[in-house]
Amino acid sequence: MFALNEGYQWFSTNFTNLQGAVYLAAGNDAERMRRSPQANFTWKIFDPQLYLAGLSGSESAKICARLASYPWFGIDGTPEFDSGAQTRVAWQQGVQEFVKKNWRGSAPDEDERLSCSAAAVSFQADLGCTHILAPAPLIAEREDEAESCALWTDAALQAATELDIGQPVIATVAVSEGVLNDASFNEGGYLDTIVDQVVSRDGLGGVYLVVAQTQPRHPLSAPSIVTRTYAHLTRAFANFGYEFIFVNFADVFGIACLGLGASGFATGRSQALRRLCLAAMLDDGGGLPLPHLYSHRAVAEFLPEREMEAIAQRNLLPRVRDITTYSQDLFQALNAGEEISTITPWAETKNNVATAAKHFIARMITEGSAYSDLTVDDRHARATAWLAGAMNNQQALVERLAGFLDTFPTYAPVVDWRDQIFN
Amino acid sequence: MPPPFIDRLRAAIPSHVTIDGPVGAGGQGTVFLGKCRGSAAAVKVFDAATDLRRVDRECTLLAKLTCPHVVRLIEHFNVRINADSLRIVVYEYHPGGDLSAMLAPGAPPVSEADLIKIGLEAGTGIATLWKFRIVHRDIKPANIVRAADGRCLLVDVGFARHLDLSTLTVAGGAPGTRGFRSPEQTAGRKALTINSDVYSLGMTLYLLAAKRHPFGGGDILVPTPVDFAAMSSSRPLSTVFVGLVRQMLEFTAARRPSDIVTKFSAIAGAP
Repeated sequence: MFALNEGYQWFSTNFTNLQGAVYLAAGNDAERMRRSPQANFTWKIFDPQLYLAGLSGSESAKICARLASYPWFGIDGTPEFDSGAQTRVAWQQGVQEFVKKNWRGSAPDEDERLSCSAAAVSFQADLGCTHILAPAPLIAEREDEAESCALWTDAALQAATELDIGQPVIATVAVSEGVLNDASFNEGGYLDTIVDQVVSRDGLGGVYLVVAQTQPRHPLSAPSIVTRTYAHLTRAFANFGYEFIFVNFADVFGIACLGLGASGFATGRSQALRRLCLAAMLDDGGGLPLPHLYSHRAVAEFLPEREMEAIAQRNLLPRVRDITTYSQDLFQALNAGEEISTITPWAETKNNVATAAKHFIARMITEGSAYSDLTVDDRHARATAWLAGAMNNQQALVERLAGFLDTFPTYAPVVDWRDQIFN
Repeated sequence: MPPPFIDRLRAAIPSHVTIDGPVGAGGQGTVFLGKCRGSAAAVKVFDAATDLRRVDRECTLLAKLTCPHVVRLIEHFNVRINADSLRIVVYEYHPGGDLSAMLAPGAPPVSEADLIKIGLEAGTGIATLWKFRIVHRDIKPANIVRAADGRCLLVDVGFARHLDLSTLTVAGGAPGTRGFRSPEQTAGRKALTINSDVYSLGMTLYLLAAKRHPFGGGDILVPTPVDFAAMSSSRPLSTVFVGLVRQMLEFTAARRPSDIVTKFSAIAGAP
């Protein structure tokens, strides 16, 4: 099953067949979040994102200003919005100035843990969430051995009991790439320590997985250690028997995780919503992007004019064909040999990304649905067949486009992904 | 010549506590058999060098517990003998002795029913501690005693780690007893869970059943094969019981049965 990561824009309203949404605390302040669209999703999830507590208030003031509006970050005195006294923009600027001085840069202390957890639990319940995510700090120090994360989980479980919350409480495991190395994957290694901390807690309804990358990379190009971590944790929690294992910020690799036993995954419309990287959450980060076509068949992304036209000219369209409501005009034009610059939604101009984003999400919805009714074995078989096909398609594309492109399409490392599914 | 230590101790403690002879000694102090307000009691005198924070923590956590399978603390106080301030902790005394007697040369084989009873009752104590996020860290035959009514109880919670309190380290490496430490405990991991105690209980049950240690009395840091057939060498044991011990001795903590009470209850209730 697929759920859409929601940022500031309520992008989920574009899709009628979307199965779920993940509302991110960093995307909206608490007041706007309470006014989020009321859609009837199978899964409605709100991520408290306490794992972002380590952001710099001065360098990421825009995001920290939103986060500071939520009580579980423990920022006292955050200015509240008064529509009669100021504009929303003026208020937001005021909050950004406030967090530059008052943002903690770390999760609240032990003596605040229960009250902060209770605030996060009750906020999600009030929002009508189907699952309650326990807020948890980022696992970013090896010496901590994921114990802080587990103690926050304990606090959320206690709060849910005391508040008589009926929805399942889900442990958040947010681990930084920075604490991982090859030895982490050994039997009884660091990742198994994390798993032990979670599965030793009674009363959990499942687990929500996030791996934070240390360097901003294209979402399809996450380093092997990141995807291996998603795979290892998904497999371990599936073996334990959790029915709800949700993988976020793994982008398309989330589909591979469905093949390993995950019950759902989420990604989003933009790079910032597709992978998690604290170093990329800067106020001045990001430029204006160009549209890219996502091809599920090749697990790759291509520029519509410079790359897709060359692909069509080399008779390689069957290798990348990916038809959705949003991409059919593009493929019709490519088949007819037309210039893509005339197809306005796909013209290769800066920030013309809405249709490409809708196509990507539509493909994720279709794939998520396709896995929903499959047995565990059939999910695994579907994922491995998909990656085997993608390997062939990528190989053909690379060989036959050699010397015909001045640009560099983004290919996911599907050989690596396939190895992770088999191992 | 100064009077013997025990006489000075008798003179220093409150009058409602009496001390007979020592019944055991360990790394942290000496345990005396005695009485407290007329009832039999185990009086533990901690060495002067003992980290008193650890003792205080043990007293604090034991005061919270009401579990028939964890030893009950009666009271604790300090006495001064010469220049040393000693911490005295008075526990209820259980005359049945500890399980290490079952390992003595010539001791008869332990029946499966008794092994299951030990697993269930010690497991209940372990699970009760974990509800307070306490890991005992030193489960072994010598730390499981029998009450007069035959109940098993966990004792010597002094090494336990209470997750709500600051981390205390033990000089000389990983805490616990060689041969009973979980692999993660042996590796020096601090953030242990109930699954570490489950391993140590599994090792205790293995030893009681097989009368020999699977790793020659040592600890392991890498997955190592265990001869589970040895458990049944002196009398038959059910595959379900041996299978449960096998799970408890899984190298990877998360694969061990943290719902140990449920597991043993199911076996105990089976026809």
